Amino acid sequence: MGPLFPQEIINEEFNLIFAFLIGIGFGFLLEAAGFTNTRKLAGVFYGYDATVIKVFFTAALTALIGLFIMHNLGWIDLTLTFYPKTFWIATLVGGIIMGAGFVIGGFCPGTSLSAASTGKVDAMVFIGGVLLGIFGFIFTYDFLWKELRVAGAMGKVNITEWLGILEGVFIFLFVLMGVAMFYLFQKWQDWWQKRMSKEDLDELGL
Amino acid sequence: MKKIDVIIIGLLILGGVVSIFLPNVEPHKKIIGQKELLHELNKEGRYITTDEVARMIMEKDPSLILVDVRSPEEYDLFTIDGAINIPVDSILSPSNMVYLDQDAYTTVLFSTGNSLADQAWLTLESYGYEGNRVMKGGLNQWYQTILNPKPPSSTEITREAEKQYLFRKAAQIYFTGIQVSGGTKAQAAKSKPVVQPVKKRKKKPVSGGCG
Amino acid sequence: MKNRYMNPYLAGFLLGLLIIISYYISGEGLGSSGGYRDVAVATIDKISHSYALSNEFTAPRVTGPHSPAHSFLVYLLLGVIFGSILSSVLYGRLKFMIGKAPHISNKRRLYLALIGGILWGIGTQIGHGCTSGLVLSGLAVNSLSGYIGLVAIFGAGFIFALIFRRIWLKPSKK
Repeated sequence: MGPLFPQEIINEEFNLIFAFLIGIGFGFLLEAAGFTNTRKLAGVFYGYDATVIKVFFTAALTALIGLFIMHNLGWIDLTLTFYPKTFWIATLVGGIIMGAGFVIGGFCPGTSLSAASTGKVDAMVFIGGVLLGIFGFIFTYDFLWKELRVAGAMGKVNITEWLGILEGVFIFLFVLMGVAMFYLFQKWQDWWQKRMSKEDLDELGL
Repeated sequence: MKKIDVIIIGLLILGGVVSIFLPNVEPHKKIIGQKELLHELNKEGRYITTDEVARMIMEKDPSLILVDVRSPEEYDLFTIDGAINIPVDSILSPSNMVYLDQDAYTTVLFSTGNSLADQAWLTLESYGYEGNRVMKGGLNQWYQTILNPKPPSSTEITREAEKQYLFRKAAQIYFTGIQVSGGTKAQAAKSKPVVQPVKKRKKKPVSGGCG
Repeated sequence: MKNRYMNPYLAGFLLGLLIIISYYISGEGLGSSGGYRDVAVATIDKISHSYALSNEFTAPRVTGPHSPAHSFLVYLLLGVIFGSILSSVLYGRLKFMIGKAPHISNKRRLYLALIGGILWGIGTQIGHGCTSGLVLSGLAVNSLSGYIGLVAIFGAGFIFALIFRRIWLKPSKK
């Protein structure tokens, strides 16, 4: 029964080799789906490219449903896995900063590494920026961020418990919401498709 | 729409429908019944010895955070140098999370004996704040072993007991400034901390995806 | 020449399976910013161990078994590099270039990328993760923080997109 590494069913060396292999899969899919193309990423915010919405929500829903079913069948014990703790104020503030960074920089940390690996100079500069930002954060942590980083601490909170509804029902509703998003963003993309030049569409691979 | 789009969206909807009919085992709840509670209490590595705490203080280990969970009055009267005061009833207040919610610091809770610190530890654990430690025996044990150590009795003299005693004498000097009479002083001052490193917890904590 | 990309639903589905496998074997989700942080902390530690010990953010991360050589996330990022190169070779996209909207100058694009990166660097450390570790892996286990991150990042994104429209869209001639 999973997870294997936290229960010491596999050793650390294997786990790190495995991390590398998972990374290869992750990088391959990011590149293949077009996440190294900064215009495709930014497209989500203007509606001319629905790829990010499709990939992102399909991935989240697949993982959510899969893990939920496995947990219910007793195949994996999710109490032993990484479970992000909730710091709602910190995440809200950080998220807004990240949202600005997304529109201005045109990448997020994962996609920028993928893009830089395939020769995108702007992504390399972006990564330099990320590291600069982290260094700046660390150097000013003691007097600027210490309090904010833990603001709104709630522990490990499952959204369905917080809302007080059954997890299975929530997942079903989330699927419906996802499908509705696919539909709306597809319509939005179709609207743009008639208005964009052929060069633009070719670059976006649409 | 392409065929593959239809298949994958169909799979997602099917999965969503199946999810409704599953028994909904809550995935993140740590403590559900008494059995789990006992399991939590017996978790390896919950306790840290007074010797280990003393060694970390003397070595100025930056990852050590000492938390006195007694009342502010008791804290004012006496505590271990460098300890912060978070009374057990306010242990979950957000402003304290900077000390209690992390994976990397060694946060050590202590009270007079074990019970208050245990209570605080269990509260934290059940809310998902893991990896905190409890100083075994609390301040009573601290007094007996570090501030006022007794030489090992003649029946139990072993190399380990002797080494431990020498370390505790050194710690006593460090914490109280008391000069110890006789030959032990020189030995004590020279002796290096000899406490064995605490055995790591069996289950490897996961480090977290991001952040 | 038209760029060719994988079907987005298929890519998403495979990515989801990858997250499941990662949780099953390692108990970890996919993450990126954690790996960047580990690299940054290790760099500071290399340059000045005493500074790393005095800083409250880095101190607990440089004492004990926290070497980036043992970091799941750092190995994951190394894998991402190889996987991306592999895919771009297969699709014939491996070349040096600057990705941008056509009406923006190269210099301007690079400045903007740098600023965006800095914002991400700070934002991920405040917000406990990025789109992959906080949001994607968070959503996979229905963690509240994942949903807050999703709403904050994309919500703010759509608002800032109105403000910074000219970075990505040609100003309309109307």
